[in-house]
Amino acid sequence: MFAFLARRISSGVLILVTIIVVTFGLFYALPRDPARLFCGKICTPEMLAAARRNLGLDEALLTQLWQYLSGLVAGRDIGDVHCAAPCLGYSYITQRPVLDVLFERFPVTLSLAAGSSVIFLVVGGGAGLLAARFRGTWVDKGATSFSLAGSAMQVYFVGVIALYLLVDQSQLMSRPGWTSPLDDLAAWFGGLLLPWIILSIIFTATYTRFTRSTMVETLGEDFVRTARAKGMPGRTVFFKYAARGTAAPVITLFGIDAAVLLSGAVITETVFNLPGIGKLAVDSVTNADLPMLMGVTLVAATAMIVANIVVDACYALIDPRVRTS
Amino acid sequence: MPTIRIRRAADGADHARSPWRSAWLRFRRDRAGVVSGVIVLAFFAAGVCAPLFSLLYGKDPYQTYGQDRPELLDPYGFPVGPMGGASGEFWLGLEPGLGRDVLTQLLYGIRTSLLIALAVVLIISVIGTLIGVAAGYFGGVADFLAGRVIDVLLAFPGTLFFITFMPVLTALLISGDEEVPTAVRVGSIILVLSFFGWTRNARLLRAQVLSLREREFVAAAKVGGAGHWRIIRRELLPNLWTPILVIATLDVPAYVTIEAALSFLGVGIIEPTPDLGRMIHRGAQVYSADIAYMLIPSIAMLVFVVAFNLLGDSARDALDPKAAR
Amino acid sequence: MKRTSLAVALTATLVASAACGGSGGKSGENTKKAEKFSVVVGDGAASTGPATAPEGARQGGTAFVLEQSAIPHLDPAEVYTSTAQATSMLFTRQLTSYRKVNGQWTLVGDLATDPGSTSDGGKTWKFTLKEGVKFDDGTPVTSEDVKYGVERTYDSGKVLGPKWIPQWLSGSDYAKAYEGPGKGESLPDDVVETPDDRTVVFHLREAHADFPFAVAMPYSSPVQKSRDGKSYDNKPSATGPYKIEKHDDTKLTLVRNEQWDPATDPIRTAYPERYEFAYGSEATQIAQRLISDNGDDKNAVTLNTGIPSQFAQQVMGQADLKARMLSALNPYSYFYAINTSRVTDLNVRKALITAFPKQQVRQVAGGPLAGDLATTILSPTVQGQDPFDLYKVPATGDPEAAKKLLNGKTPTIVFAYQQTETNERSAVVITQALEKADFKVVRKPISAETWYDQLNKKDNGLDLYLAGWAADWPGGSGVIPAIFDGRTIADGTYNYARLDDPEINAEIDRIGKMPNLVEQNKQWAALDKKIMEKAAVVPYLYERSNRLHGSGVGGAAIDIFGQTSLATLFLKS
Repeated sequence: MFAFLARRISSGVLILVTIIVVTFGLFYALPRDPARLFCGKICTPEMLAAARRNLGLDEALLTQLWQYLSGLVAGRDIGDVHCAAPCLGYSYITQRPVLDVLFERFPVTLSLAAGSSVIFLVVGGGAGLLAARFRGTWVDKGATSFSLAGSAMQVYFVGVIALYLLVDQSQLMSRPGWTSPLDDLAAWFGGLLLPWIILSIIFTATYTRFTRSTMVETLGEDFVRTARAKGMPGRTVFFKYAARGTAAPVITLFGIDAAVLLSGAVITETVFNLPGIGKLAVDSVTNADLPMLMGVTLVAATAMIVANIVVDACYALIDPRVRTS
Repeated sequence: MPTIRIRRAADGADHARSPWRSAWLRFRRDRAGVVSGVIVLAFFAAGVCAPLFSLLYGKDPYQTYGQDRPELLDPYGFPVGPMGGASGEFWLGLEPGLGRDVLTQLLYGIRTSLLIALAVVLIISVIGTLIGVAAGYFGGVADFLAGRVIDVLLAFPGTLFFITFMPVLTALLISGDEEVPTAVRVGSIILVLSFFGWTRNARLLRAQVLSLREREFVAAAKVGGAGHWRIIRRELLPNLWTPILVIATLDVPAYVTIEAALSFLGVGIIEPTPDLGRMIHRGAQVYSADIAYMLIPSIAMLVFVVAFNLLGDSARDALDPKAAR
Repeated sequence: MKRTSLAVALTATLVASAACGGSGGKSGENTKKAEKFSVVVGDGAASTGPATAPEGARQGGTAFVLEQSAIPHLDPAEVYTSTAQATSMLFTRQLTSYRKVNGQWTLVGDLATDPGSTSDGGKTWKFTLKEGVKFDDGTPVTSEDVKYGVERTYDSGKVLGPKWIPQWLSGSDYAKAYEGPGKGESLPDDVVETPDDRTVVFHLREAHADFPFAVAMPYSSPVQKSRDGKSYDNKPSATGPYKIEKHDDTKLTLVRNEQWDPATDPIRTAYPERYEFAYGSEATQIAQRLISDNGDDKNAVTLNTGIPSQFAQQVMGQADLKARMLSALNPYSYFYAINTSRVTDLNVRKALITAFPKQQVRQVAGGPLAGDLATTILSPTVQGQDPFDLYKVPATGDPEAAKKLLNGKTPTIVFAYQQTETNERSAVVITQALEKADFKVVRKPISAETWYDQLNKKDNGLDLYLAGWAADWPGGSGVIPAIFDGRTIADGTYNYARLDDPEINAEIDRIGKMPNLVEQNKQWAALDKKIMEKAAVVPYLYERSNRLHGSGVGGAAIDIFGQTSLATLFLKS
């Protein structure tokens, strides 16, 4: 098991390094000069050069890349300030440490991800189980139709229309926004309720469908048939055996989705104006804020890699064959 | 996710008919499938025939009717009259601001969106199949390389990458201050989406090939002295058509929505090319004064995606009756 | 509407990328005369505190400010944008500032007892600091602190702030004369002199009658040497009624500065106990929240967010909303510059002015709320402006008259525009209108990031493009010389029309030296007319600031730069 983990983690680190290099390269292909932002109304070539020097943009690309990577591991000095490891640098725009900003934005993304996960796991999973249990009845048809329609409910239009109908016109729901739960729990909940619901619609559709089909498949497996043949009551068979068999694949799917959500729901955060990682990403692209963009990319990629490792590790625990493959 | 089964030589009752023909017969019995098929065809027809329709209807999506005739828009640029200024002359009303015709914009928008989605699906199907088959069939170094590339691409936060990559690509393709031709912009969207899209196709096909490779008929072909190319073409590919098609039916609606998401975030199609995503993007800005302009493209997209998903379901059932549930 | 990119916001030559709004009148509104907005120079009496209390004023409460983007710097040497100035006036006091006296904008002494005095026609300026002004740590403000603040503006690391003071003190190569206080050296006394604790004397290289205006920005404020350093930008010491509790890119909270004495302050009343600025909302959301007027939003204002056009009809149609809207012209004047070095035929330039569809372009940008259609270069907010209309063409453009001027020619015009949504839409309208007048139009979209770099190249290869200008103070000296002096044409400067006319250059020199400000400004207006005769630009819009506020807010106004002024704001309950 340790060998397995070590192998996966080292390959994860390699992937991260690759991503840093690619992002770095890409950013330098961007047709803009971040130094221009730091040059005033009257920008002379000398002032532009000074701004480039201040940002460390006058170094060669490889040198900058090396400084960044070594800063990540060992920390580094930027100007007259020491930036402790893991050093992600300072934002070009606000001059704040990238790490601080990420820590500040992460609770928003985490809240959004956690709340909508609860909704789609409970509603989607529940609907899928029910549909499988009452296969062919109106319950099944209802759940299937819902999942079909729901899978087309893109946040960028459902979100806007919901804002129009539920907030602007009728004021049935409070206006989405971010308040820290530590400051005001009710405001936190009220501000996130609509984003949670809207974001979870598509996921709920997927999970309904997935749970239902996995469940139906499990019900056809030999061990379930055996249990049934032995005369075990239908309900016991359903919940005790089949539902458990369904849990593992659903959790696997959730592992990956959780990583996607934690790396920032870009569109949801944009539509509802939530200052999370996704919004930060869009803003740092717009502002040509390389250190911030690198930070966001790293967080997102790390979440993805960790989720993959966790999922695989769970599998490896269950099925020893995976470890050696 | 549907499980993809392998078609065997003898397939029960359909023994005598060609597999495609029997699939078609099964599909015709599926009412929901036929209805959604008609809707999807109508969308394709709308896209293909948009210029013809525009000729008969007497409007085009570029002309600023509202600007040329002041009585059509109020001083703030919004269409006069209910439902976005819908009238006998402008059936779906006018666009806020420039006062262009909404119906022709919608039809041309569908044209753009479908064109991009189909092109992407075609490209990723070809690339995904090639790489998937190569990795699965040859194994070893090919498999290892493909696996690592896929790992990196999958660990990359998708949406974030799209918004970073689009400006870079258009900058690389176009020198300096030329107006970016529409074809180039469309081309770069297709490129970016394809660049990330093929990984899923490759992974699924690799898995298929891995299991096919060990089958008797492949072994028999090998013993019979068939070359790699012949085995891939004559033994593997015929068994891969179904999964390739099944993945494609899932991909088309997915890419229609992803393309729209890019335009929504401002990195996709720009003025003056009509596009569903750009209409939604503009709709999200003006929705409180003109909800019609938001609803029209949203509903069009919703209907298309639902219909295509339904059609996809029916097609899968028809192609692969064993997997039907 | 997309947030204006930072690059655009920082270069004060804003182009109407985010011109928002729709407006008041229906048609016929064009004939209405724009309101007068001039500024006079006040005296010692007008500079004495406390500030005039607005009717119904009340102490206490927390005021909320909703903004699209954070102001990146609080360091007074780097505060320049109008929004940053409107924010920093709550905690930074400067040598001079503006207040309304009986409805008339007046320049008064803020830290100084009066708006400065000169003994030699504008070369030497003396300011006396008021008594009883302290920093938030209780230390009295001295002339040394003001001098140190001025020295910091020489620092090459502080590029974002205005540079009038160092340029006028030490010439345009000021950085070579003095590097800033970083190495421990101080400016010599023959440049800035502090004869005693309360007196600062500036020795300019040349006479500048408008120096009191040039110091009416936060870069003239005092800085304590002992508290300067890397963190100063995020938490500068306070001389105003509030001090900074917390500042980052999502919020700024201000709490009362107990050391501030209202008796010394003619401008600020500072009624609310606390200010909370929230950054990072979209313009539509800010407008929607202020319209809805729920909960804390009753006590909210926005400094910089206008009224997006989708709300224009609603706001103008409902009396209660209209009552909560402040509206005034701001200093921005926009024009479509004609590159006179390429379009050399005067009749072609006149035809451009004649064919141009001003009104349609404004409608795409949101209609009458966006601003008033312009016929001059100088905005009505500039002292002495003359609202002439030289060409008398309809605001929708007159393609037939333009054709006559072209006399059968079909000149090619390279029309450049920024790739922002509003500009892309106006480009559609402009192209169509010019083509109707038989121009051949070559469209050149330019990305927002490289817009200024491409535009400001000496030979930019373009014929027609949107440009705008707002002076740092309301006089013609900040506008005409900056954008029409032919001798400044070079890479990176702002003569958008590339106009190099000996007669105009000579006039600029003559008028600039006039010692009497009022007379000087009249002459700038006359020169405006001369430039229009050369058809160097198509005047487009005098921009309007429209700002909503919550129903619980009283005493708010539009400040001289077009932002919501927080100086005398109070909360009704």
